[in-house]
Amino acid sequence: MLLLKSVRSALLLAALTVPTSTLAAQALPSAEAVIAKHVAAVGGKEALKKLTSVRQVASMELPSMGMTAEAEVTMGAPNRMTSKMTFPGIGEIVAGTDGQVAWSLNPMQGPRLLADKELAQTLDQADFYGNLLYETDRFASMTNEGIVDFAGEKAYKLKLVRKTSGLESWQYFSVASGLQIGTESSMVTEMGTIQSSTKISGYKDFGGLMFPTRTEMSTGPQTMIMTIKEVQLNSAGTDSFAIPATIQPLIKK
Amino acid sequence: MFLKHAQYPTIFVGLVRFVCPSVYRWRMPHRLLPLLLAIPAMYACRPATPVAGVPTPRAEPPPLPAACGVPASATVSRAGEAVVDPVATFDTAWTIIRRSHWDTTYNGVDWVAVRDELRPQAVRARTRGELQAVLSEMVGRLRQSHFSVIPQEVADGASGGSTAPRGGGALGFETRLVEGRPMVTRVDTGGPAWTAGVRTGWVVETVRGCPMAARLARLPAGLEPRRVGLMAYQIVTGALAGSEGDTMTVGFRDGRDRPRPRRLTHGAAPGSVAKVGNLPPLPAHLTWQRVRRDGRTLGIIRFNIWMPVLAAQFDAAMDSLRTADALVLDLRGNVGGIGGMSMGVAGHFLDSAYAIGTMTQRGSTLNFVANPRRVDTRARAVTPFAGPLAIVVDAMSVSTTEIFAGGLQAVRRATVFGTQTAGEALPSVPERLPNGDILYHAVADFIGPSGKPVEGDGVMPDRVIPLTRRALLDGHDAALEAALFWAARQSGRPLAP
Repeated sequence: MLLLKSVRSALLLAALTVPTSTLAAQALPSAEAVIAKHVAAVGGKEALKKLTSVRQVASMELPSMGMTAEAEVTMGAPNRMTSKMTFPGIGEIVAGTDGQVAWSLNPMQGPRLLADKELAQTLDQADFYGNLLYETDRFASMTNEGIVDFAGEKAYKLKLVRKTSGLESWQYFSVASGLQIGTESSMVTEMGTIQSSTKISGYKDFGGLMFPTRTEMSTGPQTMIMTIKEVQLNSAGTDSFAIPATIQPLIKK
Repeated sequence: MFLKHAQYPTIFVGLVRFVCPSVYRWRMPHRLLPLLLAIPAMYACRPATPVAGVPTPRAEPPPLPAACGVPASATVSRAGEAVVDPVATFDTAWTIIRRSHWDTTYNGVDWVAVRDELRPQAVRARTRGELQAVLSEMVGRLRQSHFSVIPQEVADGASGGSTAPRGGGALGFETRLVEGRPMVTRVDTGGPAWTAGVRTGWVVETVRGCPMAARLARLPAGLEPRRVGLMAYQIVTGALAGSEGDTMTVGFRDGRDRPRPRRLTHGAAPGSVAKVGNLPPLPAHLTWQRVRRDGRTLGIIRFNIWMPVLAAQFDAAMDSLRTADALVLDLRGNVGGIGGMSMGVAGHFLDSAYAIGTMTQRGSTLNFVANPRRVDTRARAVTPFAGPLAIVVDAMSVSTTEIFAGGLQAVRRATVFGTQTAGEALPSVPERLPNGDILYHAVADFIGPSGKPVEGDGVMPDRVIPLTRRALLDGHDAALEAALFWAARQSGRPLAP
């Protein structure tokens, strides 16, 4: 009996001395739960599923280079996207996908079709509902790696791995508000893999849904700040995603 | 949802500049390179040796005549203005390099010690010019190209942020240091110099009464010949700078060394003005022509800077020359520009996504990959140009030009003619400092396809053809003619595999 009491006491003592990190780990919500809270915070799953397109108009700034630009990005269900950035002295940098092919066009490099990993990554980025709702069937894994400090607040750090492209990203969600406040990922480009870190903030109501109005993306020593001025919901027609004439000849029939 | 775009990092990289910072000195000239004031304020993309912000003149140079005083400037210098909070600007500049230099040993320089030594001088600076001198001394310690300070008035185009350089005149001729003398190497047909009878091979003896030999005699001793040529070019070009309508007397020596003074009036500079971000406004022009040699049709494309404003013009030139038997790109005097353009231009000549080099910055390595151009400007399917390609370069071919020429040479797509390039090719960005000046600083190294840095050695032509006065006086452009001769004799060949 004494032994049992001793064991019981020992177990109680052990419980009292469990490291706080372990306690924290035990208290961590699942990645799915964190995402669910974010979805609820931006307007809810049902409201988001009623979206068919989102068009964002923004101004961009590269402070270190003294450059500004106007930008438009339009995304449409299920997996279409076009973007256009206009830089004074450079011209238009455009890109997009119709869900099958992905392309880019800028004055410096000329027209280009994306391929291989770059294509797969772009198609993932254009996944309309997958990116709005982070639906689990899009991901090979979703893991809550714990609470960290990000952009000055406590955030859940989620590691997400895309099924199709294998793209790994770390998404940060505010513990307090549930809103996504950041992301880190490796992006495949035609020049190689680039690490980027993005802070997301300034959520505002657009048509009953919350969208961030400021993103601050850093790649190495350079930072690009985007301020979203306008968000239009369900306004994009098919012509918004038309493949430019300059790209058409590149597509093998 | 927010904007997620894989292109954003590519935008960064594409916008990284490869421009020799000697372009940006105290004022904007009518041509590419700015005037460098009288020694000791002058230095090239790479600081003159011995390393210091103030180059060491040769022993006891003769005093400069009064005529060599500072000519009229197209940009009003603010060097004499009082500086506000110089330490903030100094600290910012030092920190920028501290965090962004790709080499964490700072090319063997104790960067902390540099700060400790020079910060007190920044504290004592009373004028913008004094602070610029301290900052120039600081970046000069790195002994690398693409580190410099651009005065705000130069970066902003001199007049309330105007995007156009004031004046922007041109006399219609180029010079190089040939056989130790500043010499006319090219005269634009129909331009002011041409109309006045100036011809290639003439020596530029005086400008507004200032003897060029006296200016050149004050160049630091022991400089590498390419540096001498660059600095001499900057001196002479700067002396010749002026606005459209400006008139000046230039003293030449002709082929018999007879004095040939000419009263020249600046005409309009060719092309357009390119302004991108913090970079000063820069003249940008491209020309192309079709010539016949030995029964073959050859195309020649010449452009002075890698700026996106010329990208569409280059594409259009390629469309016009697509049926030529061979092409020659004359990139002499092209001082660099937007590095990303090299990938698009290279794609006109490569049928596969070859890497023409690698940019190594802190934390990442990026390949400059040619984008094979399979669509013309009318959205018609085409194939990249498959004919023989020659590239002509000289010591004034800098930065992105070297990356492009060296890259195509290394993958055996182009044969290079002329003389060794400048060897100054570090990816760089211009950042605004608190006092408004621009810190132009390199953020990466660039390695050619052969695995060697382009910085330093640059590109050695396959056929070295130096300028000679004899050939210039005879009206021959030896390097271009050699390239055309070669191109005309090449049979069509398949592109590099």
